Amino acid sequence: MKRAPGAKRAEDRRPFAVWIGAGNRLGILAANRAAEAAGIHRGQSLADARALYPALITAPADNAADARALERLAAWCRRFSPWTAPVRAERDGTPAQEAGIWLETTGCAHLVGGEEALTAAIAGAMTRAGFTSRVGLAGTPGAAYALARFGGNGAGLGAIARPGREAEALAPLPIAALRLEAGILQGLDGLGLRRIGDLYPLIQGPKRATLARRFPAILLERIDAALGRRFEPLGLGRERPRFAARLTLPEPTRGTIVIARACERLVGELAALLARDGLGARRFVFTAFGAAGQSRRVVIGTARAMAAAAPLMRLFAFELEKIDPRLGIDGFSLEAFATAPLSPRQGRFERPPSITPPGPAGDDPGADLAPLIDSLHSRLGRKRVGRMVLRPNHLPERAQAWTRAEAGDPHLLPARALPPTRPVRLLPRPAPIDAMAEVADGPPAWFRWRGVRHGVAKAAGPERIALDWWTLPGWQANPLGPAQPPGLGAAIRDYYRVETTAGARFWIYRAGPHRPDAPPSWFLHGVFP
Amino acid sequence: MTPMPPAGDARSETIARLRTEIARIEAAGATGGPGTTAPGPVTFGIAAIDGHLPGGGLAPGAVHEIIAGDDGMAATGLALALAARLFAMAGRRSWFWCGQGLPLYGPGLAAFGFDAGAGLMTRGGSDREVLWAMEEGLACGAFAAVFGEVKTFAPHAGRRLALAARDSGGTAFVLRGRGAEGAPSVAATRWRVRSVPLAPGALPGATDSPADSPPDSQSADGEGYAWRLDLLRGGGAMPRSWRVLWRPGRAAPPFPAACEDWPQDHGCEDQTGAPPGALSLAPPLSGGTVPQGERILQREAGPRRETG
Repeated sequence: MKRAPGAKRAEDRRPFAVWIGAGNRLGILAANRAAEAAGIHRGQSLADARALYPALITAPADNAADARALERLAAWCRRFSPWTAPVRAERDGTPAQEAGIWLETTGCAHLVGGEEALTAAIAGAMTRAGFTSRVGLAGTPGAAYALARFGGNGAGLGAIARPGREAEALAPLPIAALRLEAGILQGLDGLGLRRIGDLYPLIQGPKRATLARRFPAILLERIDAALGRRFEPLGLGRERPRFAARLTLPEPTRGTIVIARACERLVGELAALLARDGLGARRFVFTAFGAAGQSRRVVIGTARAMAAAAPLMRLFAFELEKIDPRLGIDGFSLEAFATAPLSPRQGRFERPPSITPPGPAGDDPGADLAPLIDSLHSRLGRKRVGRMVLRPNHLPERAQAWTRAEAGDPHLLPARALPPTRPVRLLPRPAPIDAMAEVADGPPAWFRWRGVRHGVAKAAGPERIALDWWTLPGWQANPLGPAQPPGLGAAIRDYYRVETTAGARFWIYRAGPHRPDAPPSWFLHGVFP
Repeated sequence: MTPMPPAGDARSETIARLRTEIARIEAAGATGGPGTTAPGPVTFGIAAIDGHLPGGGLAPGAVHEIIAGDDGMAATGLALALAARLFAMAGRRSWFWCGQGLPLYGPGLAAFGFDAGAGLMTRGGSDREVLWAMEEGLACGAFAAVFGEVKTFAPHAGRRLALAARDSGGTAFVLRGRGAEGAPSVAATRWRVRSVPLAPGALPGATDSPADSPPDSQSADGEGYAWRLDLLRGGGAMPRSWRVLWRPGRAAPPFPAACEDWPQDHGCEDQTGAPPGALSLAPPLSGGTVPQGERILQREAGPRRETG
């Protein structure tokens, strides 16, 4: 699982080995073919290896990096099966150095033309990606594990156990193939039991009890599981897609167009599958598999179950840009999760036609907004798409609120209920301005906003708006005594609509009533057209 | 050699025939597609402006560009007022606002006849995102009017928008900031609008008592908003300027109540240069009437350009 540091593929021919500290010695954990040809093998001490081949390139083992690489490779293997997971040492009882990947290939082999073709395809792709691999295929995980590591002729293709013939396929393999601890193996070896086939007479009839008594339970569990007498969960740790479509290219592509076309095709296939069952899905995962063992995923979530190809493709359109075509992509898959029956069309956005007459052209009052909202969400983010709700609050900044785009018809206030003396744009928060009033409690004669001095030519007002004094700081609700508001002066705004000498119109206010001892503070709150 | 007059006749005939052909194709292309009846133009309701525009108003299913002539919100007001006319004519009131600037204020929109509940909005983002969102909004066909605030409006993006608008029948209003006049544009019409002072005695903003009756005289604006409207480009129409007054009213359509040509002898510069603090000024309400042909010639000779 490691390439020589900085080495390109062509340089892999130079002997390279990874070492690991085991006890008080440094031992070789893995060596490449060139190193093996030089006589370096696993388990050798690092000093011996260097004595054999002084120019050996070495690197310390990095278990965490290996685990990550294995995870990535397992994800990449989803091109063959939707269900893959790395072999986990701690759970599967395998030595930590044994890298492996589980693939649940039930129902997958016929897609590529049979089990032989599938194993050949996996081994071929692994080789092209630069990995040495062995593939075993069987009806049980245990048998597949054993066949991959010990079966076959060693040429990398591994072995395939015919359905129901696992016992026959496993019989010649060493017992170590059953993922057992060294202690158990030694015990069996002491009894002269070396092949899995040697155990077959011992696991049935009265001898089974003897075996169970003399060895830990794991031995019988493993062999029963390998032979299919006991279920062994793989724990693939991944939700199983309900529908999936995949596509393999004859040779790697580096073109973004190809990615888009492949996605389009898969979306079309999946949409047809979903439509056949009257289902939609709310999550779609598109994966592009690079020839060199990487994969890139693009996930699309939708507000409601979808099955139509065109809107899905629109959602994918931006996300596909995130896939780097330089990976050299030669396979794609599209999976659908969270399937649900397709709901009938969403409610109308427009008023029912009985209220507003249908328009003359292209008026579809029931036009479905959900695809648009999904599309906006996916590109702009949920927070930036919304609708406006008017509220019955006299405070200007609380008279409207922002709500989610997919919210149902908000409670509407009749437009006439609001005074039409409001600006078309409201500052998020009132901006303090310098202002000078000619009359103490009148509108200003001029004011300065954003560094520009505006002379006030006309003013209408004031319109006095009192704040909710009970929300002001310093006021504590006293449930026992009578409510005594704090100085009401702080809670009053006198709004003026002013027109500057240039013609611009603003909505400004003076906070609090005029007081002789302190200059009033002025704010600009909105802009009129 | 063929004698010239017959050739010229044949040529002019051919050109005339091709012109009618093109007009027919363009008219067909402007509708929402085959099978739909061509919707009427979005009129201002002002004979002077509608008569000046080819087609009698703004074409629906097209992109219209409105450039701010000042730092105020006159462009927003004009877009809202035109959309309100559009709603009244199309019988639809759904709108989609892709904003980058100050947030819209629903209670203020209500005065324009906008239904807050019929609107979908996006806020923030880049020009690219805004234009994309507008295009999506047009393409989905659910909106009568789509608005977008952008700083730059490339011809490429404009053409995409125009196609989406044409195919869906929705009308797009692209709002642009100051000084965008110089950039090329593919919008069907291009306007520049700025707030101008109301007549003396008129108060800014709308009042609760709407003026159902038209103003008794052109010199009294009543209450509302006054704008100077410059047509910069309009499908073959000559550039021209007007002073328009928007007044709220119960009677639909709500826009506008008064309009007059912008007089030649009053430039906007005069007013920006007015002494600050002056409580009264002479608004260009009573400019001398200039014959129309002469006005156009003057415009051609030297179109006024505002500075800054």
